[in-house]
Amino acid sequence: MSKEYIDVDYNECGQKDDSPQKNTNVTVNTNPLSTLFHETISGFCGVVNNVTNAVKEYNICKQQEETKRAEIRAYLKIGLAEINAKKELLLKQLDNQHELDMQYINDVHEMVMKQLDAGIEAIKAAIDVARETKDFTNVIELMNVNNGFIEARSAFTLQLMDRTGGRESIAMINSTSKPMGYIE
Amino acid sequence: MKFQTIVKKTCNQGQDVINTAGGILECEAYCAQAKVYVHYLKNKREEADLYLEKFREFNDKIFSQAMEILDIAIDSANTQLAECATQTITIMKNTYPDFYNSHHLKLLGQK
Repeated sequence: MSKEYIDVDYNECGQKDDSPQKNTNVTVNTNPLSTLFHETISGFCGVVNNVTNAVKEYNICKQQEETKRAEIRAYLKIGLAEINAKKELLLKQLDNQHELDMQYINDVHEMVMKQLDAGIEAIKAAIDVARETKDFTNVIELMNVNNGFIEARSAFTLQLMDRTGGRESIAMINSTSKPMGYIE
Repeated sequence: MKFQTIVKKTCNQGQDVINTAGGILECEAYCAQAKVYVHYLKNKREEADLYLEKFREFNDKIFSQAMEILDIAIDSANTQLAECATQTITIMKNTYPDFYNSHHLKLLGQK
């Protein structure tokens, strides 16, 4: 009966041989199932490793993006609060200035009317005297003085209106900047 | 590969959000400036109306006084007095154009 098996010599792997050319013994694992199992395990470990790394990277990216979102929300909140505060401050300043201007207009007008009333009273008194004396010279002189007062008062009023009207409006118009995407 | 694409898209979205936040702040600032300007115009309108009221009150008094003196001048047949009274009314009338120009500018909030 002939031999049906392969006769192979086995050597221990721990022995070192400096001359590889002399090492003619070859280690062979003749068990096919162990090779397949080993490859499967290594492949599966590789997949798990890749998935774990991917999940880790995703979580890192997610945390970074969440942090960025929180920063953006905070930036928006602070910006809006700053804008509202500046707006309220400007409105308050406008109201204060407006109140002062209105009070000034009333005070100036009161003074002017007092002066006008005094002039009218003087003219009326002069007319009463002139009716008796038939001499209206004083009346005419007082009226000329009153006419000068009317002209001076008109010029003063115009100067006052220009003083309280112009500079702030120009500054306000020039400072208005249009936002991105503004449609004319 | 797909995951990298998703990460890249996420980062781009993040940049868009930052740009949007900047745009929102610009619009809010513009709206705030517009409100302030409207309030300013309202104040100027009130001032202009007050000036007009005082101007009319002053001129009404002068006009009534001038008419009284004119009546007296006619009664006493004094031409000089009559001329003086009409001169008062003319001076008062000449102040109207400049005043209404200034009043109009003040209503518009301009110089």
